[in-house]
Amino acid sequence: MRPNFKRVFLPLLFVCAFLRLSASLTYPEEPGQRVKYEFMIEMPKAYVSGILVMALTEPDLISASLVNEFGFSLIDFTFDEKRQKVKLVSVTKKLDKWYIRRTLRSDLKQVLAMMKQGSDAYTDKKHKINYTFRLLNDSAE
Amino acid sequence: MKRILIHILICALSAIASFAQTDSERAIKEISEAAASVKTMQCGFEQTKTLKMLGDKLVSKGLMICSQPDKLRWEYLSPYAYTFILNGSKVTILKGERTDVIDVNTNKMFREIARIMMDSVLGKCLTDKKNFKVTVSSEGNSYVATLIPQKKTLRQMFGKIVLHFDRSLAMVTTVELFENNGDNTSIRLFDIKKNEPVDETQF
Repeated sequence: MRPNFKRVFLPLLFVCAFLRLSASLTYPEEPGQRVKYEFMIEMPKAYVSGILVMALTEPDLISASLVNEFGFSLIDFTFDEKRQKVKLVSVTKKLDKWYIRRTLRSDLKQVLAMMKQGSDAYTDKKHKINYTFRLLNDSAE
Repeated sequence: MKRILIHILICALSAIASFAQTDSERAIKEISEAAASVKTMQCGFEQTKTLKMLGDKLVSKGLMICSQPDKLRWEYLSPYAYTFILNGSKVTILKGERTDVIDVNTNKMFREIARIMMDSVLGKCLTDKKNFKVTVSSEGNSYVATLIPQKKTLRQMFGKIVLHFDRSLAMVTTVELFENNGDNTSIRLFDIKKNEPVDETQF
């Protein structure tokens, strides 16, 4: 008995397309696409956690905001994928020091590169900073 | 003739100003009295963070329990799990498998977060003249209090805080926090239970 194409392969095709779509949502690749992560940045003496929201706002330009769980803004930044350059748009006063900005610019570039490859963690070995991310299930919205 | 007109104008303006001041003082008194009468409070909350740069909103929901004078449980249930518990000078944070205990006296940021959360939902900030410049207006059955932070630590975090006080419930029902980068966070409180016994083990 030959399998009915419409009944067997078509649903399979939909499942595959859905899985591909879900998999691609770890990094915004299309203009307007948004991705949300829970994040934790662990430093030797403290840690910061919250939500990372990022979107492809222009071709080759990722815009992202890191906010803590209470909704307080920590960092707003953009990443120019063509020039491989991170620009810090605003940084909360507590983190707004030149040496922190320098580390953030360099680490965020690495974090985004690692996310694009499907990884969810990055360690800045020089400064002993661990960045971990977990996709946020945003179905509550 | 000109002088008379100027005098009339000055009198009218001062009358309006004194009326507005009396009205505002009456509202502050009403909110403060309501805050003083709250010994415990439990409610659900919906927090909406508006991200100016991304033109996006981040909605989170949870539960809040507080017991005067210094116990607060602020628990996010969705889309992430995060619990902030204040008990005296001790803050406990539960996130995933992590539990962190922080002394608010040694951590300025957590001290401010704890104070803003507790004093805002209870409306206690209004009489805090040292930390806020307050103006109150009336909108239907609500008072809208705008608080401008005076202290440096708070000014670095917020441009202004707006409290919406429901007169029939005698409670703050919405808190809006406006940040300096143009973002804002609105916290709407619902299913409010006042002065009912709370489970002390939650703190």
